[in-house]
Amino acid sequence: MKLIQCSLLIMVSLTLVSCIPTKEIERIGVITSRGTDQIEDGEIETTLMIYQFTKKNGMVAMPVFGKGTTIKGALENAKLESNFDLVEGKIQLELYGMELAKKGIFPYLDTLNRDARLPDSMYLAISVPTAKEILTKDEQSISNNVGEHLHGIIEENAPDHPIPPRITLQSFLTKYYDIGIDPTLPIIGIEDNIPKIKSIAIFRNDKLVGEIESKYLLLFKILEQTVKNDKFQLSLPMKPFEKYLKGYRKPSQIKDGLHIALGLVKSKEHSSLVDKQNKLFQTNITLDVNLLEISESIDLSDEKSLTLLEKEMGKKIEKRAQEIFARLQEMNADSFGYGKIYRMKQKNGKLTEKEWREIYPNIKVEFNVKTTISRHGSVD
Amino acid sequence: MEINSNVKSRLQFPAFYLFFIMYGAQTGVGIMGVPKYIFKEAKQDSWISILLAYILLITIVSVMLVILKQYENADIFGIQVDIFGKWIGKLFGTIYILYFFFTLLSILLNYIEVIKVYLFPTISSFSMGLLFIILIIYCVLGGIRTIVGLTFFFVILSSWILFPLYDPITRMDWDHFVPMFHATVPELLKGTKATTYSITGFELLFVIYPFIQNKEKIKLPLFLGLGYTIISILIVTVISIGYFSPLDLADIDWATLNLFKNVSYSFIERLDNLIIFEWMMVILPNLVLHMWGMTYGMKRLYKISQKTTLYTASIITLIFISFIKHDKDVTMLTDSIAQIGFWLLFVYPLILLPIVLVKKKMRRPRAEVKK
Repeated sequence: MKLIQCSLLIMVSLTLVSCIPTKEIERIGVITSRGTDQIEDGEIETTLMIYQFTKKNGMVAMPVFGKGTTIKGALENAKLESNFDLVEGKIQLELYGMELAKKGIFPYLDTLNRDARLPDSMYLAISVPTAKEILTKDEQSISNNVGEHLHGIIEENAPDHPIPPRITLQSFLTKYYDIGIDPTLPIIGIEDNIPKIKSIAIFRNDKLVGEIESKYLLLFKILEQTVKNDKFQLSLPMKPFEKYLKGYRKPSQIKDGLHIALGLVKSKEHSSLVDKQNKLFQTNITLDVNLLEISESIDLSDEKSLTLLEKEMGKKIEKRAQEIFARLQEMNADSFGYGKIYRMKQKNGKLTEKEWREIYPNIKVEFNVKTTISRHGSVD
Repeated sequence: MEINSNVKSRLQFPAFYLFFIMYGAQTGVGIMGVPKYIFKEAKQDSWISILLAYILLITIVSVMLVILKQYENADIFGIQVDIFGKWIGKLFGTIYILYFFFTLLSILLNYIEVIKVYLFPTISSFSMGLLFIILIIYCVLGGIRTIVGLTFFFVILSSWILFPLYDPITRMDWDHFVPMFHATVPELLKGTKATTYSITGFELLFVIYPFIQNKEKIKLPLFLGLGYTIISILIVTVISIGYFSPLDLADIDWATLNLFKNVSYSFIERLDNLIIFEWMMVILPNLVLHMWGMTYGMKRLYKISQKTTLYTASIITLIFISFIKHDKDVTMLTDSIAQIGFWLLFVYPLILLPIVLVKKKMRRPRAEVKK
């Protein structure tokens, strides 16, 4: 009796399994990257890069295109063109065209957030001129699929380099929804036939309002968060260092200043509101660096020359930070989140979007950069 | 019916297992979505609400223990008959049984809803329900000792779920908690009330009490079990508040599940899919304990055999599951269960306590006179 009962249960359970719709792996096209562009009449065009299991190297050479007014609609439209069942479960990269970004990308993020079957770990990026152009780029110059390549440069760079900012859907949304901070995204453009990170897109809410060149990338990242293990270069004026020169070359021979390359061990950033009345903020940055390269022989065994070098570096970085910040203020985009600090200092902890947009262009920020050269390599 | 229940000693189990029973019965679908509901009320001070909920929980469970200790070996069904008489007592007992039934139903409906949203949008509720019902019937047929064993193993086997949360922790923004201590007392209490649906399940103590072997050692495992539930809720709520933006969190239905959506390893790309199935282990003790409570209650009140109730209730559940299709109906049912549960589980014992005490005092002189 027990045996019959048990076998009956097992049989019913087994047959019930077929109630779940089947998906054969050979018939599935896994979307790995998606580009979204604005075309006329408020319509959008998506470009999908597909991974196919039946193909030898997995890639499908031809991207699939679809048109529609919504992301999902465009996907359905693309399915007409493809002989695979396109699934979105493993999207790694979402690219948005420049024109679309200027109008605001939030309408196109809704489905990524709403559809629970999509991962949150996908990266977002802006492409210039259009996503289609980047994704359909002739692949001869790079070894693999463009989507994979782009995901690679975002992912590979991320752990040890802060470049480019690795922004997933969730971190973008958190910054979008938080009052007193605006999101940023990397901009990918084509240079010498190879797609690469061109600059940082500055957003006000979900609208792209400007760009910061890629040479400011590291500093931008340092101002946002703790950065570890990176390299950067600086050019300092030669004047203050002249008396420490070892004299292999005469000061008159040196024309274009002192170039140094530094290895960043760790950076720390702390911002605070110093004067609430005058809306004066202070951002303290401490940099722990190693000296990797210096264009002129300077006597580094002298304590004073090292201190001078540290001080000059600090000054230079402060100046650059001020530059970036002035440009952000001009765009009225609070990428570094001073509004959050201001909100926390409010009596009831509340700050409206509108209030902050009015206050932000008038705030002042004092940057204090303290660099410490902890090691200068095997020579003085 | 007899007030005290005669439980055969071979059916009894040590008090130690109460830790797992409490956690298993409390943690289920509630915790999947609770951050949103607490946050809506108490904002960044939600964690205070949850701690308050623990104090409330301890108070209520202590009250329940005091009530139970007035009797030799009784459960809620016997106590109510003793206090209110045969008719009203049985009516109240039936309310408990109905409550168990609808809790079971709401757990199943919510879980099926999650499966539909996260994994298979087109799957029929009936087949999912049938799978569950078969499992429940199989477990409940094993009797109370099987159920306790199952709870023990499933609680242990599913405890790894909390570990992948290290990933959202690293992405948290602690600024979301500042300024602290800003919620008013009513807001905090509302937050506590929002927590109550996720911590219901402890009412099974009222039913399972006669089955405990060493009743003198009951307190430690009991309160630790309740504490474990509260800590789990606290962890997911705090992480959710830090991880999601305040405006976003108010819109997210299953914030706890969404926390896992960013966790990805080279050997498993989408851990969240696995977590959702793993959640079956979390809710199964929940379902089985409620189903058992229902069948045992019917046996105590109306002398109906447990198997009859089990099969009837299963069929009725299946019918309900196939007919409730829209997510707003599921939400409505869950909300009403949460409301009823609040009054039945958190308020009613406080009313019952003085009545029980007074009745006992009145009875004692009479018993002495008789002697």
